Amino acid sequence: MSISKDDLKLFISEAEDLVQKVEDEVFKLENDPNNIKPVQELYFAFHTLKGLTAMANLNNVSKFCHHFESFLDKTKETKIDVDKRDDFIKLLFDSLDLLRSILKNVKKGDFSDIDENFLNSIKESFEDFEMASEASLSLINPITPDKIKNILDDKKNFFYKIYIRLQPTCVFKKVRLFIIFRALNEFGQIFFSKPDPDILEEGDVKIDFEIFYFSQKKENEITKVLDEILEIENKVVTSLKNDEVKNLVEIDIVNWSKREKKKVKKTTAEQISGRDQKLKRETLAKISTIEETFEDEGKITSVKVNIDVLEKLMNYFSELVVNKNQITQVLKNKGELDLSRMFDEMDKPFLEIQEIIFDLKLVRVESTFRRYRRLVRDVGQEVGKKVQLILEGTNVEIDRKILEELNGSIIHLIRNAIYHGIETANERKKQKKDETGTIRIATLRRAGMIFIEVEDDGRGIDYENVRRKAIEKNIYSKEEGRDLTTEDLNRIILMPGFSSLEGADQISGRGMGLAIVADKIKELGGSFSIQSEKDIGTIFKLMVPFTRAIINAQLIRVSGDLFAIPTENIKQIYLYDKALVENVGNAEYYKINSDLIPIIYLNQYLKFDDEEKLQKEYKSKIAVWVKKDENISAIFVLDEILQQMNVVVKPFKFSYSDLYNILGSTIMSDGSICLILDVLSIITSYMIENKFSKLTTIQ
Amino acid sequence: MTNEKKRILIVDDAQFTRNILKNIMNKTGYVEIVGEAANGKEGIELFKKLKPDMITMDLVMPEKGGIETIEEILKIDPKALIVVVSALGQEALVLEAAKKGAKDFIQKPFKTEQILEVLERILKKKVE
Repeated sequence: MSISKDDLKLFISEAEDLVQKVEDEVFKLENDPNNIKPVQELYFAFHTLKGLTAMANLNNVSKFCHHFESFLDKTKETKIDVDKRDDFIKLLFDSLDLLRSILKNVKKGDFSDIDENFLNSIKESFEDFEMASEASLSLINPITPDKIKNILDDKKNFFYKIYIRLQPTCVFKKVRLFIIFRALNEFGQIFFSKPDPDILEEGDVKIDFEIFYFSQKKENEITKVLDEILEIENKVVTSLKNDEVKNLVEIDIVNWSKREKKKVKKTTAEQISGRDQKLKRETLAKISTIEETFEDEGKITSVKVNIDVLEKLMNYFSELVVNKNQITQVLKNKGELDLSRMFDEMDKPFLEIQEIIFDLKLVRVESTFRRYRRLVRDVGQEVGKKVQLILEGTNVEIDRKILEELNGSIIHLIRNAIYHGIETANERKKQKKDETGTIRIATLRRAGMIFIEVEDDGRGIDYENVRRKAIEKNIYSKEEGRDLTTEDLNRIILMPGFSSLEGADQISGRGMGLAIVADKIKELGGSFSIQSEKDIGTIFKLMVPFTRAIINAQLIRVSGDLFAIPTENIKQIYLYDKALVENVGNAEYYKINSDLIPIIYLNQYLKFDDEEKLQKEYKSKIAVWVKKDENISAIFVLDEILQQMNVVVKPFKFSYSDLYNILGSTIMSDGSICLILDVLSIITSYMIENKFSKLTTIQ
Repeated sequence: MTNEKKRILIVDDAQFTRNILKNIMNKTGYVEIVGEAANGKEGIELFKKLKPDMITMDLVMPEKGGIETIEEILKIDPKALIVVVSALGQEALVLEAAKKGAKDFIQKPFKTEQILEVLERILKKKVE
């Protein structure tokens, strides 16, 4: 084994991508068996996997991929037999599991190959799939410029342009063209057409078309071949001169194949045959360092970077931001204004880099979410329920770290939905629901937050049972229990241990562990809520920040202590004017134009136990209008506002139950720690504690 | 060039269609219907026995369908001339038949001229 550690990592990442690709295509094939494209994509994926695994000396794995490849090659142009399709798809799924487990071993440094017997059994099972050999139906084979010379040099070849007009009554054009092309290809090769070959092969033609053809037959013989075919109204066979052929190949065909490649990202037939040699030449390092997405001009448009490298880069950059802030502070303190100004000028490139790094950290949720299709399929089969998954908004981008952390929670929710939410097909039938249950995962990004909804159309939560159980278990008295709102009941469901209480499974229709999910989301700086209706279904709503590295924050002072508020939460900053405070009921509101916004006095809210601190020079000088969105806003009253700066957010590693209103912490230039306030948590918990009827402002 | 009549086998489960085909073809005087089969199984038996110059083949039939029949006949004689006579809306099936080796196809309902065109182009029997 002479593969370096770095190459190995790249091999694994490349292979994992391919395996994922295979899985995606298998799903596509399963859903739309008549579509030939997934088969072609699978063919390419296995082909590349074959080369890749061979480079890693996993020879039998490579052979294994080869069997798939050659089988797919045969089926590429035709269709897989209906009776055998399910078996074939199952075989593909099994092969995926096998490939994954091999990659897992490779990660641990275990390079054990598949054993020979297994390989043979796979080979045999493919022989079962083989169907009556069918001629390849690639009817038009465009010639590439490198091949044309030999064909032209062969003086026995004649080149023709054949114009054909079909009878207007011709209906089955695809079959008609097939018969025409088959007849011509028997004596030569159709090498291009107008309209384009892909269009023509689909039979997508109005009434007439031109084909370009070479053959050793004479013009009158060609005409004779066409004479034997029905439904041809008119045909004109004309000879082509050599330079006409050259032009056609070098301009029209080249342009067409470029367009074709872009469209289906596949190479031309010529390139496929050359792929084997090419793959052998490509070294592992070369294949894997760069995911070459060639566009027309052959430009490399995307580069694959190892995630560890990216993490390091971000951490170093974060440190750099802190250091720079420290230096600026020191320089200012020392009165070195010139130098500190120079440092300030670095802000712009710093911001630029920061934005780039943000982007680097982002991945589409699709990269993880698409795996859920398999999960839904497998879990559904396990419990014998029919379930389909709908993914929406999969192109939303999110911090990959956050995505990783979310993954477990979403898997949990999906499992729960299938185990406890979705009913069996029989039950659903009785309820007049579609026999197939649906889980929908919708993702949306708004104002720095990612909203994910995991929705099922199952039996929903029976809140009355939750209420009964809450009283039974003495969580609430009978009287209290009666008044519990749905929101309260949702909170109870999320109480640690509640859902795991004996029998709670049937009551709530939910399994254990929702509390764990809620905790995890909170830890990520997000929120988690439930919305459910009996017999209709349940929606779990997750909200998480889309990133959590560097945020722009407003530093503030409350009773002498430093805090930060993310500037994206700040709507407006005012000088506090007591005259604008109005009392409605027990609550105080701040009047802005004609709106009344609930007031939160941060010194009280942050509960400084310390009497002394509570008293200490709280000046109520500033009113900051904070919002989470248009509906949720409040006025924070505080002492002092300081500068705005970019801070590196360190999320709390442990869950401090008392600090749920803190987003995280950051280290200041003087080395002290500043807490960053979680505006939404503060507003909502304040509203709940003070029994505000609505979270919204009074208008 | 002989003036011998070309021999034709009709495979179709509908007596009505067979009769129309027979009437049109017989009138030309150039061809002769040597056999009629109501399904693929009979069709194959008659093909072996009669060795016709051309077979017209329905696709959807009881016992043995047209596709399978085409395959089996071509196994016996790869040069057999089979013309599919299909109903409208069966394009996929007709394509399948063509891929299996059917020479050409026409659709029901067909006109006299279409049948004559088949004879002219495929059997080289020009009908004046």
